[in-house]
Amino acid sequence: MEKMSSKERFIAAIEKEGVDRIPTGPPFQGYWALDYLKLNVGKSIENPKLAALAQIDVTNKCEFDGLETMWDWLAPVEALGCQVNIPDVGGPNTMTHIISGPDVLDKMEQPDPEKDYRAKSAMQTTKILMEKIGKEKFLYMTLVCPFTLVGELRGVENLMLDLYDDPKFVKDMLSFSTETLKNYSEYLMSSGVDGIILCDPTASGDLISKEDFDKFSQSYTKDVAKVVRDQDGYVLLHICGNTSDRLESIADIRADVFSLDFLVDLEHAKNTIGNKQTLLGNVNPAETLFNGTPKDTLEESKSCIRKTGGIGHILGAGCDIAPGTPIENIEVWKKAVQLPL
Amino acid sequence: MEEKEKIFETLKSAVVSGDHELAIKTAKRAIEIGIDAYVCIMEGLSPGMQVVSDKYEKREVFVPQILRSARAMNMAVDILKPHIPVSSVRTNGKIVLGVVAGDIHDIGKNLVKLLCEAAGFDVIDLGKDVPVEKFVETAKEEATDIVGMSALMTTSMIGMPDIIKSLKEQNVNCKVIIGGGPVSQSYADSIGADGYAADAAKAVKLVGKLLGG
Repeated sequence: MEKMSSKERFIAAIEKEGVDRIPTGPPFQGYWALDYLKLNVGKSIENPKLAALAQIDVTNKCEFDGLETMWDWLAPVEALGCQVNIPDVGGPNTMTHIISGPDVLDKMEQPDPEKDYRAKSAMQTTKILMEKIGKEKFLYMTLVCPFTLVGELRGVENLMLDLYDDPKFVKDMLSFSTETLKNYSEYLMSSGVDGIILCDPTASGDLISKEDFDKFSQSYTKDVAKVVRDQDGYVLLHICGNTSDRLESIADIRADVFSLDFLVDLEHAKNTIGNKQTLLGNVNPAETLFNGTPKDTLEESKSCIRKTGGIGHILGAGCDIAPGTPIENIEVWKKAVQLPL
Repeated sequence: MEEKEKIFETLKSAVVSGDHELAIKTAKRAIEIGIDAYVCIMEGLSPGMQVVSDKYEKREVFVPQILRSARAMNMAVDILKPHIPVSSVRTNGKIVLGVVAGDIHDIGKNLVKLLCEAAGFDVIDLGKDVPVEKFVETAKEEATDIVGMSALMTTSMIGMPDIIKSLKEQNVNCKVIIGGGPVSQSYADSIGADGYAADAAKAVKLVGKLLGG
């Protein structure tokens, strides 16, 4: 087969067409790349150009076929009025939860994403990356899903109790956060980026049941995904934890790519939903990428590729590449995808 | 069934179903008719929490259900506690818990706390984003049996060996257990922790095992 560009390869894998080799997508390299170039997170928001250059540096070394151009996935949390702490390394933490009760929710107003300094910075970073590598690479932006956003606004433990104490209140909060994220998606997609990866860690298989996932996460994420798709964007989805028992429900969201947590067996996922969507994963980010050696990474990457036969599969990590992960371990992917199946 | 037995059964099922109103009502009734408050906890509430813990381990219930059950238990305990003479309280051991520095994800730690308390352990909760010194000082001052630390982020997990090292340097005699998303048994072995648990239910079993219970 003729050699494809990274972008052609990534899209062919999404469309389940033939590929010259399996593509790679981290899926989340942003914070890791900033730390690798010793660029403090606060500075990276102030200086989108440096933030973009950090991504180009690691992409040149690791030869990713696709990558995130926005990693500040919780930006709406601050725009909605929560206090946050922006650390030097890694993602911002939510320090206060503004929705103390239904009366507060009633008074809340939708933020304008164009006025959100973090989203604006991410847009600038994205534009620079599109200019520099956008023809060659598949580029996507990272954004929170409605259920996880409600968890940040309300506090995750409060939300967990609300699910049974006051489901109507939960649905009201979800409708609000869905609206917020539809607006954000529309704004982000106006950059012309290839797609958005939606993340729902609080709908994790380790926190809520399949029934609650169906009730409180699935359809709301679907609404946000529709906005992305209506603007000709590809939808990628990442959910943390062991979601083996709800893969069918996840497939019903009809994302183009489902990025697995390393706790889900790739072979099981392939057999269950592999005919419906492309899978991304699934190298263990802590044990293998962070703590392991290039040899460990190569072995695990090979085993991942064997499990999917390299069809409808993008090789990547089972969650974020943690800041401090040795680049030698990530560079191995370009070797793994060249090996014969 | 004797009324006493009935009360224990009702307390247990109130905890299992997460019905805090029933738990409160039953605890009040127990006091009214003069049933030993401490026995109500040990024979009613605590076994109820054990059932929930087992179901969680089998993925039959999830975090919302555990939190509801814990709330029911704690509200009943608040009613029973003033009626328990201090001398009759036995503790199965003392545990210090915390989420390591740089990490604010504390649901897992909170679940471990709830289940450990329900199992009769005395828990000192240091909260989240806890610096190394705080773990060590507390373990020393409180002469705890176990230090339990958790991390959800790989970047904070790497603070764990420092705590173990510092405990050893200062000759603090306690066991160390770890948990959280990125952590594994092999990581526990590599940093010299005494144990690892994949979830809160397994953590309570581990604590029991390490303390020879």
